[in-house]
Amino acid sequence: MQKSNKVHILPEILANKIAAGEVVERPASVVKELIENAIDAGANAIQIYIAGGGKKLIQVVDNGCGIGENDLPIAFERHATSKIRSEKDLEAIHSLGFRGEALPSIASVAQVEIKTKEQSEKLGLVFTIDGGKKGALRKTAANRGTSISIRNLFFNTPARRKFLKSDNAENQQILIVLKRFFLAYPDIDFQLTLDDKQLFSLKKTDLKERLVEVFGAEQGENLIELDERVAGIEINGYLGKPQIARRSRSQQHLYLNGRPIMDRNISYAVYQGYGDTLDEGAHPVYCLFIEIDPAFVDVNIHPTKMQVRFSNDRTLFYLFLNGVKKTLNSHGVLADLSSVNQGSAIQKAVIENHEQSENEVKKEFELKKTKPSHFNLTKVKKGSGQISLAYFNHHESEQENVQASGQQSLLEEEKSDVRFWQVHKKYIFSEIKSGLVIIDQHLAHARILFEKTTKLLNDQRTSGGQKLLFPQKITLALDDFLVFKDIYQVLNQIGFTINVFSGNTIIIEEMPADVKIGRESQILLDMIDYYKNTSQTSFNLNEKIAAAYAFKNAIKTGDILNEVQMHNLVDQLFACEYPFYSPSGKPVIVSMELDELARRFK
Amino acid sequence: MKFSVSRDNFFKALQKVINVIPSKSTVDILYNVLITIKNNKLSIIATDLEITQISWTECEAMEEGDITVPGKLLLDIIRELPNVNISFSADSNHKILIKSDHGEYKLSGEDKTEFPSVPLVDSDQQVEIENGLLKTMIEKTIFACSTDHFRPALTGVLCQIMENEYRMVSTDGHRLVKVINKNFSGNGISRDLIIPTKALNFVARNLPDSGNQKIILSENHILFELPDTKIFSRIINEPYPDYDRVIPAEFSKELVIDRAEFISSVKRVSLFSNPITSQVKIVLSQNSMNISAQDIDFGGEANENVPCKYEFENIDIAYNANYLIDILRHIDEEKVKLTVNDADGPALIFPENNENADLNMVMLIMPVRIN
Ligand SMILES: Nc1ncnc2c1ncn2[C@@H]1O[C@H](COP(=O)(O)OP(=O)(O)OP(=O)(O)O)[C@@H](O)[C@H]1O
Ligand SMILES: [Mg+2]
Repeated sequence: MQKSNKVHILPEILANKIAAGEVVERPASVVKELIENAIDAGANAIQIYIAGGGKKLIQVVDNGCGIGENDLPIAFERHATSKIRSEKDLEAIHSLGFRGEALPSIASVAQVEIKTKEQSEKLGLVFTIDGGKKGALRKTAANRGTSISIRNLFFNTPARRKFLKSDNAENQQILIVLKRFFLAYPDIDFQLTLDDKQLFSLKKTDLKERLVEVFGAEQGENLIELDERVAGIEINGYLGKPQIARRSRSQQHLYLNGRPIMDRNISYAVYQGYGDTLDEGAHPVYCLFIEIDPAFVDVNIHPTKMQVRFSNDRTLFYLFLNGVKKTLNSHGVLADLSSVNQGSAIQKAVIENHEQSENEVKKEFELKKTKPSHFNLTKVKKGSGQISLAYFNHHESEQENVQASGQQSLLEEEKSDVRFWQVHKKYIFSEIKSGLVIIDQHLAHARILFEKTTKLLNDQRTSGGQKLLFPQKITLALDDFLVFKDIYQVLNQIGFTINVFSGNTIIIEEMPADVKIGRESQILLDMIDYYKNTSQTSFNLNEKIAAAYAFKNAIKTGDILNEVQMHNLVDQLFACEYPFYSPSGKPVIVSMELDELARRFK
Repeated sequence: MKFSVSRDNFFKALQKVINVIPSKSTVDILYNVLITIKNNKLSIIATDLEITQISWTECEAMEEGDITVPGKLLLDIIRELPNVNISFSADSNHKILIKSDHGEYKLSGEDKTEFPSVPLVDSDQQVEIENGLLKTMIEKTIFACSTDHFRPALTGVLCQIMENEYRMVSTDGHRLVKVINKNFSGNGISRDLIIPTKALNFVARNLPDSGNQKIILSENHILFELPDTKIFSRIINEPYPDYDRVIPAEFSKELVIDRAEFISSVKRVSLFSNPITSQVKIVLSQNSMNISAQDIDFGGEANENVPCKYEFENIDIAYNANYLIDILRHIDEEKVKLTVNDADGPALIFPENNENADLNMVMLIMPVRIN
C-alpha cells in the first residue's frame, strides 16, 4: 500500500477560503474591508450600493488613488499589500489595512469585479475574479478612483451562505458598520443606496453636524464636547447627556486613530465617569476619538481588527474617567465635583473593576453548573429544584381557594402567614422550611411576563391594547426602523398598535395595558434595542420578542414593592412553568439551607 | 432669637407646612423648616424646591431672628406637649432650647443661609375663585393626572383662565377630565398654566369651605393666599397636549345609567378580569348593559346585566375597569350619561344634569381593543 502524505501545503484558493472564514464573516464585514481600502486610498467621496442584504451585491465606489496595471492582479494575492513593507512598519501602522488579506479572502468566496483608474492614466482597468479564479485584465474608460463590486457572497460555500440572516438583519449589521465610518470621517462625503433607495447622502462637514445627521436631531441638542490630552495622547469627541442614554450600547463609538475599536477598559472608565447619573441598565451615548502614536498600540491582535492592545492602558483609563467627569461637570450634569482627581476614588474604581470581573467569571461558572442546558428542552419539574415542596403545596392550595370563592381579598388575608422582605430594592427574601430563599424581583417578573407573552403568541391569541388619547409619534433611526419592520406584527399581537406615518416615522396608537403610562416610546425603543442586541440564538422570533417585552417591561431593580405586590409576584412566579430561570437562563431564585447558615456562624 | 408662643398655635402652624417636607431628598436642609421671628409674628417655612409653604401665628418676641430646625422632630416634640406656653430660644451656635412647664429639650438647628429662598411672586396678575368650587375642581381633576415623570406636563393640572370661564383639565393619556367653572371672571387675564398635583393637594387641604380664593400669578410661579398660610408653587413650563382636539363633539350613541349600580357591577365583575389588564367588556343592547370579564390565564369568568336607558344599535366596547371605576367615583350625581361613537374611540361620561350645574364637567376614557 502506498503511503500518502498527511500534511501538505494547501492550494492557494483553498487557503484563501479558509482565511476568508476569519476576515469575511458576513456582508457587513465585506463592507468594512472595502470602505477601509477606499479610505486608505485617500478618497474624499465614497458611494456604497447594497442589494439583497449585501448577499446579492455590495459595491463601493471611491475617488481615491486607484490601482496601477502591475499592481492590480497582485492585490488579490494573499499578503499583497502596498501599506507595509517590513516588520518594522507593523509596529506603527498608520493605515486601516495592513495585512493584505481582505481582497483575496473576499474574492475567494464571491464574484468580484473591480474597475480602477489612477489619476495619471488616460484609461482605466477592469478585472474580474470569480470564486478566486482570476479573469482577464482589460482596459476601459473609467473615472478616477476604484469601483469594486462583490456579487453573490458565499456562492461557492453553501454552508456559510445558509448561515446568513434575512436581508433586513444583514442590512442592520451593514448599517452598524457604516455608521462607524460616517462618524469617524466627517470630512468624507458618503452616499448609501440600499435596494435602489438612497438612505444617506452625507456631505463633508464637522463631527457635531455629522453626529446630528447620523444620530438624529433630538440627540444633537444633548451632546457635549470632550477634549482632553496628556503627553502623547489626545481624546476628543462628544458625550450624550445622561437623559439620552439608551438601553443598549448601539450608540457608543470609540475610535483609535480613525479606526473603530472596542475596549472594555475604556468603556468601563466612561461608565465610571458618568457615575450614578445613569439609571440602572442605561448605556450612555458617546462618540470618542483617541489619537495616539501608533507605536503605543498593537492593532494586530484580532482578525477583524476591532480589538487593540494599548501599552499604556492605565493612563488611558484615567484620561477617560477624568475627561468624562470633567466634561459632564462643566455642563452641570454631575452634582459632585469632588472626585475629579486621581485620588482614592479612582483607585477604588480600578479595584472594583477587578473584583467585578472576577465575580462575573465565578457567576458564569456557577451558572453553567446549575442551569439546564436549554431551558426549553430540560423541563424543570415543579419541586425538583432546590426548594422544598412546602412552597408549591402552599400556593397551589391557595389557588384553589381563589377559584372556589373568587374573592381576591380573602386570598390576601390568608397569605399573610408567609412573609416577604425586600432588600436593596432588588431582592425578595422569604422563609421556607429548609432555610431561606432569595428572589431577584426583576428576573422573576421577567420570567412571568415572558411565559405569559410566549403563551399568548403561541396560542395565536391577540391581547387587547389600551388606546392612547394622544398617539405618540416617533422617528426611528434607520436601523431601528428595519428592526421594527421585522417585528411589528408580533408587537401587534401583544397589544401594540403601531402604524407607519411616513418614512421612518411611526405612530403608537395602542399599548399593552400593563405598560406604564408615559413610557410608551421608551419601551418600544428599549425593545428594539434588546431585540437587536440579544444573542440568544435558541429563541425563535416569538420568544425573542417576548423576552424583549418581558425584560423591558418588568419591574426593575430600584422599584419599591409592598407586601401585597411581593405576594402577587411570588404567586405568579410559581404559577410559571419554569420559575427557576429567567428567560435568558439566569437563576431567578437562590436558596440557602439552614445548615449552611448555621455553618457560617461557626 | 427668643420667643414664647402657645403650644396650640405653634402646633397648628407647623402642622400646616409639615407635609411639604420631602420624604427623601439629596439636599439635607430641606428636612428643616425655617422659623422666623419678626414683629411679634412667628412664621414657619417648608419647601421641597418645587412647592414652598408659609404659615404664621402670633407670638411674644423677646429677640427677633431666624433659624432652621429639623421639621419632623420639632413637630413630634410639640405634639406631645399639653397646651401651655412654650419658650423657644436659639443661640449663635444654633443650639436650640425649648422650655415648657414639663421640662427642657435641647436640639441643634442650622443657619438659614443654606435654606432656599422663598420665590418672589410679585405680580399684578390676580384672579379670584370661589373656595368651594375650587376645592371641587381640584378633587375632580387630580386623580386623572399622570404620575410618571416622563411626560412632565401630564403630572400637573392644566388651569385655563379665560375671559368668562375657568377650566381645569387633567389627563394621563388614557383618560381625561375637563371641568369648567362658568361663574368666573378673568379680570382681563387669559392664561394657561400647569400646576403640579402635589401643590393642588396642599391647596385643597387648606381651603376653607366658603369665601373666595385669591390667586397670584407670576412668570414661573403661582401663589395661593389662604387663611394663615401661603402656598407657592412652581409652574410646569411644558407644552400641554391639545386636549380639545381629542374630545369628540358629536356622538351617535347615548346611554343613561344608575351610577351606583354601574360602579358596583364593574367592581364585582372586574375581580374576575385578568389582574394585569383589568379588562372588562361592555355590551350595550336595547335598554340593557352586559358587563363581563374573563381571565384566560386562571380560567375565571363573570358577567352581569344592568338595566339602563339605551335605544341605539348594539355595540361591544372594552375598558380598563380601574379607569372606569375611578371616573365613576368622581361623579356625584345619581345617574350618569355615557356617549360614544364606536368601540375604537373615546367615551365621554358626564353627570346626567350637566348643563344647569355650577360646574360643567366631562370625563373621557379610552377603550381597550377587543380581541
Ligand atoms: N479602493 C482601493 N483603492 C486603491 N487601492 C486599493 C483599493 N483597494 C485595495 N487597494 C490595494 O490593494 C491592496 C490589497 O488590499 P487588501 O484590502 O487586500 O489589503 P490591505 O488593505 O493592504 O490589508 P487588509 O487585509 O488589512 O485590509 C492594498 O494594499 C491597496 O494597495
Ligand atoms: Mg484592506
